[in-house]
Amino acid sequence: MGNIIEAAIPLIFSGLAMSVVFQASLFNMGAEGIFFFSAAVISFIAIWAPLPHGIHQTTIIVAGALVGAIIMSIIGILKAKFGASELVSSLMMNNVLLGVGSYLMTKYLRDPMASQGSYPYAKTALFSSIVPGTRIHLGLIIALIVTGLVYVFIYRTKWGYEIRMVGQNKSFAEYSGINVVKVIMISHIVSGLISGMGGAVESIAMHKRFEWSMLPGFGFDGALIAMLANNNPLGVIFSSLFVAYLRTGADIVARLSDVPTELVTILQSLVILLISAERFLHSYKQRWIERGIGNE
Amino acid sequence: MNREKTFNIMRTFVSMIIAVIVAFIIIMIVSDDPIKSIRLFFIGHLLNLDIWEIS
Repeated sequence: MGNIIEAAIPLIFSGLAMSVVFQASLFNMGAEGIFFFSAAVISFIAIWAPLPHGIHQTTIIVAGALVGAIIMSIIGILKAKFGASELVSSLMMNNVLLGVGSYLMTKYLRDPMASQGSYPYAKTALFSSIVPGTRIHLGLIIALIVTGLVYVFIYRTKWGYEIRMVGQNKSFAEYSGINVVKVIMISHIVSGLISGMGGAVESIAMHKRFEWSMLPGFGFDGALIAMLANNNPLGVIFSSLFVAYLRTGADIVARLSDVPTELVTILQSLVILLISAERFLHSYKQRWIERGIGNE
Repeated sequence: MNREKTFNIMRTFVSMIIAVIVAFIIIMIVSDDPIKSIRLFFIGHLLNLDIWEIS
């Protein structure tokens, strides 16, 4: 059970990041590259900054969030000011981030004594387990707090309302006086903050050194999770647990039997296909709604 | 909660159930010991397994 929860922690961050941009009807996949790049950048602080326990971890998380926000704001500017498709620019940005992150790794971070990975992080930078016998770490509490904050932001603030309005009908929102450029920028920055934080937390909690040589895949999982949760931050927790359940199950079955771990990729893709298919169960939907009106 | 929202939640659950059924079918097709594989896939995380011993 601990495996599922520890696997769900980065998925909660990525699901939240994606749900914020999806609420504004922006299909941005930048969380994928940001997870990787923020982990690379915070490695400098985690390895070399001589800070005390607590302050060191806080600095790392704040730095990761800032890195994410800066990168997402670039994608946001491209969308808001130049009309660039956020999907295309975020996918291209992922490649740029992978390249730059790999350069930082090879040039500055790589430990010549280790076969793969950076120098180990300082002990003061690491998260330890909060549940004995598992690897569940403080990131879980941070993820739950961030979920609550995102929920309040989306459903209880003016900016959140504007994001939802733009997501439901951009033209209507524009005519009713909402600054769409501002909304695009805010949703991108918030999404970047969350995904950058997720990359930092995952890195200092689970890896103890920077060891990713390719994009970790959390961004794409985040898209599925946000879709499953219908972009609701509270639903993200449950859909993250479901995806983590599938992933962990696939890992166990791949280790102990002859079923390949790619099984979970097939399942994830299938769920995305079904959920994104507007016409799936459409006739039942009509009947369901009509029956409700009839009962009233 | 309005009926459209309720329906969307149900639709999501149906998608998840279909995915789980597909997992079941794939495992049945590709595995030499499908019963063990299915058990591991669905409830392996809930069991206190020593994975090195079982293999």
